[in-house]
Amino acid sequence: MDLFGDAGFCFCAFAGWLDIAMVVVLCALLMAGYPVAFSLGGTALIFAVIGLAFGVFDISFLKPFPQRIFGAVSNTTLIAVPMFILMGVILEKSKIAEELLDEMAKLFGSLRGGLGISVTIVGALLAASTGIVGATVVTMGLLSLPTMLRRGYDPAFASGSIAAAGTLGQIIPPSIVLILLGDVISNAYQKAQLEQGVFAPETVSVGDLFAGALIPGLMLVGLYLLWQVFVAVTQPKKAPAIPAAEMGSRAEVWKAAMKTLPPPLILIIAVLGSILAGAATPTEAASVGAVGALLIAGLRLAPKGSILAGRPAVVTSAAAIIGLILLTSFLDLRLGRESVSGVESAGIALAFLLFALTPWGVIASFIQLRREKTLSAIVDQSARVTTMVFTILIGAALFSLVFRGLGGDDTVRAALEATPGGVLGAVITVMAVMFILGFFLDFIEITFVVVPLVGPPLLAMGLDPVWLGVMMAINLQTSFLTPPFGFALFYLRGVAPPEVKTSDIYRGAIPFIFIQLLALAILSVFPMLATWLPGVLYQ
Amino acid sequence: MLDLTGDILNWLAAGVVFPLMLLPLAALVFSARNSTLVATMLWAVLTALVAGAGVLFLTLAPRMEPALPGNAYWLAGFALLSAIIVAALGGPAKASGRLSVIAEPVVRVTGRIVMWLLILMALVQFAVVVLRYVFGVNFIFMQESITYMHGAVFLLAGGYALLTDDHVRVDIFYRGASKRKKALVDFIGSYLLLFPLCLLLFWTASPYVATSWSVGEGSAETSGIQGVFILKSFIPAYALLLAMAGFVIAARAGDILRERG
Repeated sequence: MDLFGDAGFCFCAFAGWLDIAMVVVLCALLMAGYPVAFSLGGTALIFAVIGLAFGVFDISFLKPFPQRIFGAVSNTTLIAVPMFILMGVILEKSKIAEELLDEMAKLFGSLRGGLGISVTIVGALLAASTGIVGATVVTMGLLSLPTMLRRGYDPAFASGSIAAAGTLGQIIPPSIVLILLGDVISNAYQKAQLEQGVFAPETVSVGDLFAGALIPGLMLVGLYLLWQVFVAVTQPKKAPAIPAAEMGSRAEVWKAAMKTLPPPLILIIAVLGSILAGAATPTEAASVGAVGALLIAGLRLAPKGSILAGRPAVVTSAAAIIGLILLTSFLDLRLGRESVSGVESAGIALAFLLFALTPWGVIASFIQLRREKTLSAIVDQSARVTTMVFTILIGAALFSLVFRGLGGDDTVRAALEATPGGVLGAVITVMAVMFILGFFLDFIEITFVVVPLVGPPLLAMGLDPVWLGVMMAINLQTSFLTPPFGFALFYLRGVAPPEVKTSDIYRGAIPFIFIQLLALAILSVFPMLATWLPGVLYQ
Repeated sequence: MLDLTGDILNWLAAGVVFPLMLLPLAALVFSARNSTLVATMLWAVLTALVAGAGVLFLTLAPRMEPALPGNAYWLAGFALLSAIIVAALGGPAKASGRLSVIAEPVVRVTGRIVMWLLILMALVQFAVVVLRYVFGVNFIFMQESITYMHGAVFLLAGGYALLTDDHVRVDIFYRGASKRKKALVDFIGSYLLLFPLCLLLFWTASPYVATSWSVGEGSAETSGIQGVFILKSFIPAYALLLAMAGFVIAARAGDILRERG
């Protein structure tokens, strides 16, 4: 129905451009600063109404909206997101990151550029355990930046190192971007195959993406380290060494490091290992990670003296969990089988005992966190971050429904197919668009809005979904670093001492942005870096 | 009750939630100089005009489903009810202040309660993992309970996160803006973007939820939790909590905007 009747013809030319106008208006509205999630949904609604008035939008496109929301509720992979957030917030609030940073600085500080190196390594470790950029950058900005400045580091170099190391959480699995991207890419992949007439489509899982991102992520760590060593060697003034005399004896440093390093390392290996080995889904591994983080926090905070609610409780629980894993790998403990041997029954009994022991340490950890008044802060922050992520998903769902209803799908496909240079041209265009959007938008918005649109046509061109996903993940990671609105830079600005100028932070990020682009280039020349590991693991 | 569920949701949205949403706007438009009665009447006219425009639009729009309003008498009754509430509370300006004093703790307390499900969810999932991988036992209701908790956390804490300003903004200009400009962005954003979105959620969710209620939709598994209709009801609850939080923010922003001029 066209409200403007015959007089409406002059609007029709305009009506065909509504999909593009919607994107432009969204960008303008976003700049005003109203929350992104509601800007997405509200803009979509405004354009749905305009489209209805011009008779170019079918209102039935809005009907699946509640189903989309329910889809986000019932999607078991997305449940990993709140649990990883919880795990990250526990590690942050219980100051485990601080301790790691302290130890690493002692280990590497006496080398030239050593403080920078320790920041990168801790960034990588934290990335592998949680992957919340804000938390990592803030922690390192508060702890390392003042030290580095005091030791005569160049402010730009120091802040660039910290911001870049903080963004590693986006690419090194398990990361929330990869979970969200995995979900979106697998939908896009199925859609692309269905459109090509493949009715038994292959799937991509979040596990595939995790495996695919591992080597490129480590490669990025390597590139960061190379750059830091290069700067330290060529411009020693920018990254001086701490005199060895101030560092205390090597033996003591190593002894202290041996105490703080293992728990987070075990956690990382357990979580990441179980996902990559295909033994557990990301959601399952995330719950183990959250409980593990809880126990580590409890161990750190617990007083030595108290037995019931202290370290013994936490250690017992942790040992019980490890015991359960060992027991399971040697014995078949499944219940309800026909024949159970004597050893196995004994094993089952022991396993029950161990299982019964785990709540002890968990409760003890709760008590410790509660006493430190951090428990409710942890839960509160995790819940708020979780609902923030999913509200953007809801807003973006409406946006993409309306965008489709206005014919935006065809516009995007036509634009990609018209790009000169075939598949390569299309990939470069999409990457460039995402890179530029990254200057203004957050990764969550780009993932939910852009990827569902460009994914199916790109994958229909025969690209490897894992490779594409990893490329996109690195691209999105870069968006954290690009001035003026890179979130890592924002977070760092928020905690950096006033003598560090904003321009220092921006300048410091630039070399790392080039490293990111270099990594993208390497990955496009050697796609094997992303596709080899998933191929080996999930053959 | 079955078909009624959807209608009641619609009537509540159109007759109570929607008119009350307009209070901060009315408070700003009709300054304190007007008497309570005059301001309330002006507000009622404004509501009727905006609602009329909406109904007209939806009637003109093709293939609208479900039709709004569900039943004109009920709708008029609810609208009258909300007008009485507003008059009793002392006109739009006072009513928006008083209602936000009620709405804010409701949204906050809901958020502060459901957030604990996050920990419970992780623990239950951990138990599921141990039971499954060690003992080879699956309890479907445990697995499903995680979905319920997940849905409850992110849907029912949505309004709370709006109050605590945790929804990401592109804050290049917003961050450095004056208090008044920020209030203006929040105020206009609420009316232009948030409230329409909440109403759309109500409108599209009502047939969806009503269908689910009418069959008492449960789990696909016999040993699962037979409460999918409750889980789906979190969607209109999410819309309501968001609208309430948006109301509080709009009322607060309106107060700042009214301070001068």
